[in-house]
Amino acid sequence: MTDKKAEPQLPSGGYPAAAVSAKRGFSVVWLVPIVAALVALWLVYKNISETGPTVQIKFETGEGLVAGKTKIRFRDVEIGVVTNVDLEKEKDGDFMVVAHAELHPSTKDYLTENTRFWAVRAHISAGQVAALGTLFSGAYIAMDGNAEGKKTKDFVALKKPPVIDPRFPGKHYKLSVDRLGGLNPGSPVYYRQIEVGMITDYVLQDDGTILLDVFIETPHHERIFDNTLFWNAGGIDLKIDASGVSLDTESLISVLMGGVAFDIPPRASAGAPAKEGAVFPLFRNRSQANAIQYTIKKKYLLFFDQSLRGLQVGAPLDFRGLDIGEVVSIGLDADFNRDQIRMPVMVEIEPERFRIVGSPDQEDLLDKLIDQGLRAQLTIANLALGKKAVTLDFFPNAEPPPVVAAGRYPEIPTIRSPGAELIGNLAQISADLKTVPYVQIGQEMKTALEQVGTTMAEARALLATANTDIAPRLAASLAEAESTLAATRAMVATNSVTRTELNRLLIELSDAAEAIAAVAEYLEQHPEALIFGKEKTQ
Amino acid sequence: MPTARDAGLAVCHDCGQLVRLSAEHHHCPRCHATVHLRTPNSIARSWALLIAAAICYIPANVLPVTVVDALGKVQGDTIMSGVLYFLHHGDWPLALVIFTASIAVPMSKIAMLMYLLVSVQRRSVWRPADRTRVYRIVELIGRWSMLDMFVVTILVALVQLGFFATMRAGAGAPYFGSVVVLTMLAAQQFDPRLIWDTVEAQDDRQES
Repeated sequence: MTDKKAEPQLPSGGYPAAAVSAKRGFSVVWLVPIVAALVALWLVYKNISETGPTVQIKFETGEGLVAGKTKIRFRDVEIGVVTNVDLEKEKDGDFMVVAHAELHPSTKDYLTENTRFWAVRAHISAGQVAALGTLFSGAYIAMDGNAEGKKTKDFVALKKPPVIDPRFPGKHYKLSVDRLGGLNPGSPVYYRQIEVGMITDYVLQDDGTILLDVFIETPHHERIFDNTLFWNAGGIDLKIDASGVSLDTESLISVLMGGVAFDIPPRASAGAPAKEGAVFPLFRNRSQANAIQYTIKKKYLLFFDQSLRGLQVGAPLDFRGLDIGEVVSIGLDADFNRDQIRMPVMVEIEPERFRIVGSPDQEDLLDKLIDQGLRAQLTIANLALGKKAVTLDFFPNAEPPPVVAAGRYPEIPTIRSPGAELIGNLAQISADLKTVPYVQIGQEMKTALEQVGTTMAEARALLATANTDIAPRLAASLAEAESTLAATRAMVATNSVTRTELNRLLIELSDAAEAIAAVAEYLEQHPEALIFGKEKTQ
Repeated sequence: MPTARDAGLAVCHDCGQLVRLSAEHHHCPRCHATVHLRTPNSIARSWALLIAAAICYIPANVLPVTVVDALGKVQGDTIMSGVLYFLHHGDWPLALVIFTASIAVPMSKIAMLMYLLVSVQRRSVWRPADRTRVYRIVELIGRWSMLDMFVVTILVALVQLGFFATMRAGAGAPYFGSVVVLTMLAAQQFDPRLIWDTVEAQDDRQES
């Protein structure tokens, strides 16, 4: 206040007049700019206090990184924006793309050497459609914050996004396999057709095997025991063997991009829970995995003196209709000791399939059984496909086997299959006929004819069964196999309806995405179009 | 030139009644409004409001006026970025309109008022008629400066398309509105008769 009080003047004979003071008051109006200034100062303070740390993130490529637009997200929350994108020359002469980013102040605790950054771009592959949202919004940089470790502000982005979302707990295990078999990082892992994990990585070992890293989500990792079996569930496991056509898949996704399934073998004990990082073998398919549960295998040799056409490695070894093993090898020996060409068929019997009753005395068990007439025989297992199997059975009337020198593997004597036996008999008869002296013809012809007669009846009966029983089944099996194959072919064929429709769907989807992007872009340029409509093209 | 002040007459601001000023009676006998010879404290008030407007003008231009959330992409636009955007996309007439209405007009308004205030305070006698015309222009264009705010309010009300596009008024919008209102008030507080008072005073001195 700068009040200037005038000196009171006393006029003669009167009261002093009221002093007129020129009051220069503080006008309330000045509050307005003061308030404005305070608000402006507060804005400046807010701006400064909200400015977070700036970081540099190095990328191999700047694809999709736009200064001022590309956002940085942590758990899908926007925490910053790229302010500048530069090229920087490295020590080795290479160029790196450096994105300078401004982050939210709250992130400063997370800027440690263990924090990872990576670019998220739209990605479409056979099994995965990732980050479709980025088609419209553009790529963004994802951050996986880790508050532990040394503080830093320079980061190198991961080349590819980590497959496992770091938020999900779980455990890692290793699978050893000799070929990748269509598996990729991201391929699912199934437990009873429920997706419980995925393959995260694979490494080619020095010995040529491949070590896959699988991640099993919590709580499913509790199902991994020492005896858990893993098998490749990828693709369609279409198997045509002696027991017919069988098809085994886990899911459509695993058909397209491969997958791994695991389970505990039936009837077997699970064992102790597996440790994280334990290595398991990866079997090619479910049946191989299940077959492996019989660890004890005994090998036997069989020599057939007939055609082995239709017999394959893997053909079942059948005892009165039950599988007890399989054929493991078929050889062709030129035996100069005997001046013979022999075809050793090696079979594996899984003794664990037998339930032991009494105390086994295995030393001469086989000999005893052979004495009882145990013989191996080639039988037709699948008429439609001409597959053969080896059958063990007792033929009490069979001839005693020739004594053979004990080789490396015990030998089971064989007996000709019914058809072959018949032909053999006939050949024998005709040979006999040749040698039969014609003087004895009457007597012996009679017996021979009797023999022929019974044999022919046998043959007729066999043929009748073939006509009435086997032929229709054969036709049905053939038709079934044909339709299955046709359906499979139709699905897989390049010009099939499914493929075409899938292709068309994809094209339409991309068209739609383009159209939406175009609309979005147009709206961005011409927001007034929302009110006035699209202007005429110039 | 004889003036009302010389004659001790003043006009009521509210009802236009001509009143003879006496020391005590500063009220209009017809409508009882306070009567002043000149707008009281005109220059100080005008300055205060003008400075406030100038301060608000900074955040109005630095902060985004509209925030468009289109297809998950959030973008804030300041007035200048909008002008540049339209300019880059060949819409220069639109850019010119926005530039004129939102940047040129408020700035020139603040500049013109400042000049008038300074000139009156310095008792300038230079071209009073033109300076009065400047004041008239300031008053005239003041009411049109809210154009931007109207556009923003209309767009914000219309562009609510959910996921595809949503528009919000940005933090800069209230500041821009404040600039317009404050400059209008400042122009209203400025008394153009002050321009002529100094001229009259000089004329009087020359005559005497």
